[in-house]
This record gives sequence, C-alpha cells and structure tokens, in this order.
Amino acid sequence: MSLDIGGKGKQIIHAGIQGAGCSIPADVEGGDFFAFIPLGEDQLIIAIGDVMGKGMRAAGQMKELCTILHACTRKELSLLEIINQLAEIGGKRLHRAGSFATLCLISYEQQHNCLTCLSAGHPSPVIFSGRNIHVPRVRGVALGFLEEYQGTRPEQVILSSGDVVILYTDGLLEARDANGQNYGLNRLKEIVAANTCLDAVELQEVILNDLFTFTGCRQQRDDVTLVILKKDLEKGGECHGDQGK
Amino acid sequence: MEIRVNNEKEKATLLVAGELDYSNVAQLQQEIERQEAPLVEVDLKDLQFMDSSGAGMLLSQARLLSRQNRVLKITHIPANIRHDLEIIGFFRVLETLKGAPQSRGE
Repeated sequence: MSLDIGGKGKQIIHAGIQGAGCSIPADVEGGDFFAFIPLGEDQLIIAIGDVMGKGMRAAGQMKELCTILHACTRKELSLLEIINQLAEIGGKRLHRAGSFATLCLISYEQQHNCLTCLSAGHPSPVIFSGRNIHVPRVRGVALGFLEEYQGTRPEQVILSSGDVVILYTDGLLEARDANGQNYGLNRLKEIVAANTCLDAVELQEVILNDLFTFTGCRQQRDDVTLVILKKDLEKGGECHGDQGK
Repeated sequence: MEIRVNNEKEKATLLVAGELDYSNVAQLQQEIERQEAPLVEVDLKDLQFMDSSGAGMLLSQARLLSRQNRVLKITHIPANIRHDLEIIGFFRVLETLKGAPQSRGE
C-alpha cells in the first residue's frame, strides 16, 4: 500500500546512506523541517527540526532557519560550528520573534562509516544496530533561548551495514488514539526493530501506516516529521530484523 | 484548559488543568500578565499536556517578570511534561534568569 503524504516526502541515496523523510503538517503549513544535504561524494548532512507553534508564522521561521543551515554547510564548517552559527544568527531572529526551534544535526562520513550528531533541544536519534538500540546522549538548549549554543559535544557512532537511524519530531510520539493514549517512543522502537530489514522508504511507510492505524486518521494536533536513514547492506551483509521483506 | 487563581498578599497562584497548547496559550499568558504580585506561581499539577507554544510562552513570561524584578515560579510539573522540557533546555534557561535576570540586554 502506498501512502499519500501530500508530496511532503523526500528520498536520497548518498555516501552509502539511503534516506527517506516526510513532514506532515497539522495545518496547511507547519514549523517542522528536515533536510538531506550532500557534501562532496563522501558526506551527507541530515537535519531535523521543529519551530515553536504552527501555521504560516512557524513555516516562515522554519524556512529562514533552513536557508541559514544550507549557507553554513557551503562553508565546510564542522557540525559544532554549524550549530553555533545557527544559534547565533537564526537563534537571535527567533528570540526577537518570541519563538524558538529545536534541531538535531547529523553528519555521516562514508570513509570512516562515522555518524556524528548534535542536538539543540531536539530528541536524540535512535540507532538500531542488529538487536541493539542506541540513543546518543546529545543534549543542548533549543535555538532562540540563549545567545549561543549551549550543549554537549558531538557524539560519534560507527555504523555497520544495515544499521537504521530514526529521527522524529514530538508530533509523532504525541499523536493520540481514540482513548487519548500517545503513540510513544516504545511503540516506535518496536515497529522499527521488527522491520530493520526493509529499506528506508519501505520502513517509513510501515511506520506511517502503523501511526495512522493507531490514531484512526484523526486530525493531527501537531506536525509530524519522520526521517529514516539506512546504511546500505553490503554484499552478504546480515539482516537483523525479525520480519523479512 | 482551566485556570484557577488564588491571590495572597505577595503571591498569586495559577492552577492550570487540562491541556496547554497553541490554541489556548494566550489565555494563560493574559492571566499571568494580569497578576501584580511579586511572585507568580504556575502550578501544573493537573496539566496533562503542554506543547512548544506553552513552553515558549512560560519562558517569555519568566523573562518579562525577571526584568521587573519579579519571579515566575513553575511548580509541580508532571513527569512526562518535565521530560519534554528538559530536552529543549527549558530549565537551563530558567537558571540563567536566576543568575542574570537582564543578561540579554532587553
């Protein structure tokens, strides 16, 4: 079954990573965003974020932040330098507007299979490697709250073939069923762990189907954004999921 | 969302119940702005949900009161809401207000 996500999806294959992302706004436009930014042949930057509020105002602030992000990546800065510039330039604008934004930034370098991540007030990525689930301990203050980025140093993780990385905004975890129960991180982890054999696009579809089944397609309270990264299986690579294709 | 206000001489307590989100955040903001006591306590014991608009508004109000040499105190935060606030760095910002209430030069 194919899901209609209103043209809000993007896919990429770069630096040995399959990426699939989608952002489904609660209103006509939303404040969530994600980006895949290829750098050379070996590196891929991935960003996901959430601007406070909903609708046109949040969407405008989100677009400004994306513009700054793309400009920073063209300067060949480190991940920490990128987030510092975003905090300085984008954060000041958000603060003046009485707003703020959360952001998780990831850089993957194919040469060393190395994933580096940082967070400014955004939930950490969840990394599925075989039967292990790892959540990097990256924390930081959201952009717009303080004058500069304040948070942990970047964390690095070596990815193996078939590893899956999930990024999301809180609208996904806080989506509710008819009884008012949240979708939650545990349910997300379970559905991913059972389907890590799927490629990034298929896995995204499985998660969204599960989400919409859970919510009964009720009106969203918040924007929902989901990004899936999968390190390509090399020849003969092991498939760890419990449920095959 | 339901707000009950309890006024004492030096302190106003706002008991907030239900859900605080984009649709009703202005209602709580107006209620905080209406208070004149040096200490305004926002008691979230009966709050079930708060979105980013709620968190942003509470921090803006905390900054505003700090500039007036008053205090906005947020108490009895339910665990699930506290967890979300910790991720965005909410408490780190409140700490900076205690240390240097006018550090942003506003």
